[in-house]
Amino acid sequence: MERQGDVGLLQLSNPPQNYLDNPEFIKPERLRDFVQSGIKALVIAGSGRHFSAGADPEIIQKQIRDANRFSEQLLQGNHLLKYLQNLNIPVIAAISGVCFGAGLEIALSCHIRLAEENALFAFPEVNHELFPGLGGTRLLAELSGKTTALELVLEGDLIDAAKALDLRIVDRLTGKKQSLPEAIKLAEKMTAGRPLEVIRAVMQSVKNRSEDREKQIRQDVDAFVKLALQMAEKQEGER
Amino acid sequence: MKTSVSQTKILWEVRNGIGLLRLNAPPGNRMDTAFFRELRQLTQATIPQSGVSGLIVSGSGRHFSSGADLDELVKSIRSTGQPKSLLLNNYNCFRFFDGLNIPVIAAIQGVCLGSGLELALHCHFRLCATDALLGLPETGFGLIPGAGGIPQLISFAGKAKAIELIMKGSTFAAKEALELQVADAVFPKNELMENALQLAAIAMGNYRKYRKKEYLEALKKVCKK
Repeated sequence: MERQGDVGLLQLSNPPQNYLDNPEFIKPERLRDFVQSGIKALVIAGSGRHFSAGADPEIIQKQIRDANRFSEQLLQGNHLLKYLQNLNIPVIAAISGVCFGAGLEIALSCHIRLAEENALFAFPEVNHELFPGLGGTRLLAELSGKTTALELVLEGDLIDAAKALDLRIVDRLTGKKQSLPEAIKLAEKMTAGRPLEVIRAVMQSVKNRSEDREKQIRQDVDAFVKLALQMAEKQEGER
Repeated sequence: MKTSVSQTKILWEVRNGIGLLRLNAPPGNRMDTAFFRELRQLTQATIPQSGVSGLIVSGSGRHFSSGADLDELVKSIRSTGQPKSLLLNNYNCFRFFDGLNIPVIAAIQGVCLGSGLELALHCHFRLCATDALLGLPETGFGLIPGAGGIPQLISFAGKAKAIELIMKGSTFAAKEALELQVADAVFPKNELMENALQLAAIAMGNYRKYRKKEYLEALKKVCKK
């Protein structure tokens, strides 16, 4: 983890494929501290050539022997991704190389996805008689529809970046090795000169929309009034 | 028909069963308190009682609307005892259009910014002139789009694009609006109104929101003739 100005960068680092040894790929307290240090956006990328190949099937086979512990880990992994999805700053995935399984679930938990033109996507779990365990099917269905999500999850198909763009799995393509610099540039453009309070109000509204429309309306109005009053005070101070 | 509020900021006319609502404070068609007072009258009484089977929302002059009169809005928020109900009233005026079961078409030329775009996003169709310029610049002023701009933009452009556009606060032209699925079709300026009327004629009658694509296809066919 590192900070570049107001943008936080989180890199999955277990090269070359950035396998995730644990569904909870970062300690939640560490991530929370990082977010609360005042960053205005978070970029998630893989170190080296790949985003992440997901969980290592060999490790899973070992982990599953202690079923209780494994289900606990899986639950914590789910909580972590939920935390990312609900963050009130924008979270951008910069995707290069392979983005499989749990790696794809992390990417799908981000708000915006940039992918390099040669990136590859798949939910290969079915090949090991498993299924995405961190909510991947639901996350994919939200973007691509249920039919596409089920086809990809049940067939384990490998798709390229152009197809992923077509299926709305990613939002924008970049040239090779450009996903990270472009993600950081986008994060800066989105947040430069924007007070954290404004960023949070926008992200809260985005989140409320998918949960509770009436709450969303009330909170948008509340936030607007609050920000407008602050704006007026500031203008008076300047006079 | 006379209404209790004199209509000056918004023109309202019924032609062949289609309601024509025109924002009328050129050049920018700014939305101030008087505008929202008239819009409330229209949405609560005039339009529901009119029996129109289609609705076209447009702006007088070169532009659709440059949005809310911010200085005045902030002043009202500070002076009224109930700023939230003031905002909610404005919001509900916009939501009215989304909830109608007759086709509601925004015919957009020139600038369509802030609350102007929020109003357009509550219409069922957005037809743009090639010169249309859209955007939600609120975050640049330390505010957020507070009258439904966020959820409505997500509905059309998707979550990721909506977050990006709102956070950046940048404007986008008609062509990009079409790519973002914020605009449904783009026409030369002098053909915009004609197409809006045509679309209203096509979609009115047994109108269903889920048939949107069919209506737009039918409009394309008429255009080609």
